[in-house]
Formats: sequence, structure tokens, C-alpha cells
Amino acid sequence: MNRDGLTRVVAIANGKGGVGKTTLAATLAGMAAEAGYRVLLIDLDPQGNVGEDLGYTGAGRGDDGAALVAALAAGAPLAPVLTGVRERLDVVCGGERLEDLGGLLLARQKRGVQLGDTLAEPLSQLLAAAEYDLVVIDCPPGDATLQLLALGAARWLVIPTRGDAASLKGMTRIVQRLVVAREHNPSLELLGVVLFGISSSATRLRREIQSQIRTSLGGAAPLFETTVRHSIAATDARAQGLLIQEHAAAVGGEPFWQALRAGRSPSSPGSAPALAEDYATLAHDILLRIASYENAPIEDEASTA
Amino acid sequence: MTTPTPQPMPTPDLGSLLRTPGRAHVAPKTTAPRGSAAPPRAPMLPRKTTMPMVASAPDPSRPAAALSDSELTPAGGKRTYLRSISVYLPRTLHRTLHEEAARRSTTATATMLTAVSATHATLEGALPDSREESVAEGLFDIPQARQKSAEPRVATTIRVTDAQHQALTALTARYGVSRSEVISAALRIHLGVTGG
Repeated sequence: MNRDGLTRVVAIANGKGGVGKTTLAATLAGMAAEAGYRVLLIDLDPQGNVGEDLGYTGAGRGDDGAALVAALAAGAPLAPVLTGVRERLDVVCGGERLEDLGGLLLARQKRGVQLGDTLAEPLSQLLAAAEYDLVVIDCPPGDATLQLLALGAARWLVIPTRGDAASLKGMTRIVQRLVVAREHNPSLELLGVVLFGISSSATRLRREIQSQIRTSLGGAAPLFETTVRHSIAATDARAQGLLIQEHAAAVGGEPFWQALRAGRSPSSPGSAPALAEDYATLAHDILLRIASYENAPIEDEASTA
Repeated sequence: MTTPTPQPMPTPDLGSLLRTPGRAHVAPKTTAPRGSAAPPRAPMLPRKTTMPMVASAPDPSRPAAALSDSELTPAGGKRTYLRSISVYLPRTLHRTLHEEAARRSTTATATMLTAVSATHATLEGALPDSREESVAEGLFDIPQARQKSAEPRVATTIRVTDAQHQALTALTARYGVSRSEVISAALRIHLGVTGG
């Protein structure tokens, strides 16, 4: 199949849950859209938590992954379920309808059907018709089949991880799947690993974990310098259906007298702005790294021309 | 029943996993962002920091130009698809390449490398003049803008081994043109394409 349109597809994955995949996927997509990119976010997770991060679940929108299942299982055209979730951001929703999809696809695979292009093919058709500058796929932590579909369609893999042994084990699992997916999708590259959930004051611990991850990667892929701190602000943001930068702007943007006049106690932005800054720096690093790979051959052309 | 002694989890060796050779069923490609309203681009980084992976070092004692055809040909010997390189081909040549690859039930990468392998000794006549035109009148030589290619080019990314990469680099150095021009010329000869 023609992968020309799949060059800016980024899968966010780790073999372990709770490491920051969904929040990173939603925030990266939201920030890129805010920066002017036209972004498609695909929620491939049966938990469908992208809906909480972007606030559409609370608004009663979303289809629990029905359209995605129709595209992947029945060959229906893939299309964004929610358009304009934020300006320039469309979403293909995930949800519990995806729970049975892994088993169904696995049965097909056992009958000899190749699954490598199951997502890549309809996504490629969608991207040929609708121009997106960036596609972000939020992968489920446990379902190997769904992960392989995402890796079959992606050009880049970003692995968020925490510093604990279980997260590193999950990282190993997803790298093993990357190796499997490359048999079908050789253009797939590990864009980098992101360290999540470290307290901003735990400098020594952060250095040790970063060193361990770098040793583990052995120079074959980079660790992003930016880490995303542990902060309660992430929970607050999700509870309100806001992305962290929106939450930071909301809590930081209200002058104290406005709250007093309305009879409320003034809100404190707490660590929300710092967390938003972590994500903004990380999103910048990710986009910069993709751009640098895209631009590298142009530089090479210029130097040899 | 024995009680296991608690031990810390060893650091996983992801580097080796990531360097695991893969089979290239499909030629990887990348394209430049679609024409209209290009997204905001980050500034270009130095090339050294842009290589996604560092492949294992080749034997430095062996000149690149002396690499055998089997190392240029994807069918030859052990392969490790570690290094991504981008090639810019004229649109019609790109299309012909993929049609030919499909017809031969092979990959675009294999077709490109086979073409270079088959024609590398006879490329000189098919390559554009690498000399930079300049106007020498007046105070100093003024380099003139290179003539733009008549046809838009399409970016294709291929993954090659160190040996293949080194051999391609040696060819670009020998002929003084870009990698894309070397591969384009090789493909034109190999596929019998004229023009472009």
C-alpha cells in the first residue's frame, strides 16, 4: 500500500497503563492544533479516555469507538467522528466498542489475514481526502493487536514512561512490538522516550532514571530532555474536560477581585502553568524532532547540489 | 518451596531490540508536507542530531568504493535496516519505480539499490553536470542559481545498511552530485526511462 500520506502519523504507546499516554496524545494534539496544525487524534483505546481529556464525554458526544470498529472490522471508510473538538482538531473516538475488536482481528489473523494495514489503509484513504498536518494515535496499553494496528500505520512512535520497573517493562514490550511491526512497516521509527511523573524537585532521582533509560536505549533512540512533572493539576484539568494549557489559562487568568466579587475564594493556579509549560516544551521537542528528520535530507541535498 | 530473593529488575536492553533486522516488505516513504498552507515548521537541526538511529560502524579499513554488488544489492547477505535516508525523485520516475517494483513483486528500496548496483560503473554520462555555474565578470565570481528541475520531486525514505549507505556516499563523492541524482540516474538507466 502507498504510505505517502502517513508520514506524520505519531503513535503514543507503552505496554503499561497509567504512564501518561492519553494525556500526552490529547495534549500534543491540542497544542499542535492551537499552534496552527490541522490535527487528527485517533483514540484506539477501549477506555476512551481521550474523551475525558478533551471534555467531549462529559458533553455527551462520542460514539464509544463504533465508527472506528466499523472501519477496522467492516471496511467502512474511516472518518473523524467529532470535528472541531478544538479549532483545527478532529477526533476519531475510542471506547468500549473496541474491546472485542482485538479478538476479532486476532481470529482473522489466525485464518491467515494480514493485519498490518488494517488501520493504515483506511487512514491513508482518509488523509488523501482530508488534509491533516499531524495525526496522533493514542494506543491501548494491553491489547497487542490494536497496538500493532497503530504501529502498522505510524511513522513515529513516542513512548511515555514512568521511572518504575513496571513502566520500563512496558517499554520493553512496546519496543518488541515495534520490531514486529517493522516487518510490515519498515518506515516506523522510535522518535523518543518521554519520562513522566517525576517530581520537579527530585533531581537526583530524575538523573538516575534518565541515565537508566539512556543505557537501556543504547544510543538506538533518544530520550527527550524534557520531562513531565508529577502534578495534581493534571487530575484537575481532566476533571473539567480541559487540556492542561486550557486549565492553566483558566485558573491563572482570573484576577482575585473577580472571584471575590462573585463570592468565591480566589483560585490559585498552583502547578498548572508549570505542568502546561512541561507539555508545551515537550510538544515543541516532538514537532521539532519530526521537522528535523523531514528537513535533514533537504540539507543533504543542498550540501551536495 | 523456596523463597525467591528479592532482586532489582535489570535494565532492559532496548538498543539491541531496536537494532533487530527487519524484513522490508514495503518501501518506506516520506513526502514533504502537502502543498497548501504548510504547517509551522521548526528550524532545521544540524544533521548530526537528525539521524534517527546510529547504525553499527562499518569496517573502516575497507574503501567504500570497493564494496561488492552483493552489499549494494538488497538480496545479498545479511541485512540490517537501520539507517533512514531520503531520496528525492522526479514524480514520473517515482511512479515508474513503484509500478516496476509492484510488477516485479519487490520493494522500491530493492529496485533502487538493484539499479544503483547494476549501473554504478556507467553513471557518469547520465548524471547532470555538477560544476556550479558562475559569472566571473567584475570583482569576483558570482555563483548563479541552479536551474530548477522541470518536474516536482517526491521524497522517498529508504532504510539501508551501513555498507549500502557508505557505497552510495562514495558514489556521490565520486560523481560530485547528490544522492538523489545518483539514484535517479541509475533508475533511469535501469528502468529505461528517458527525460525527467
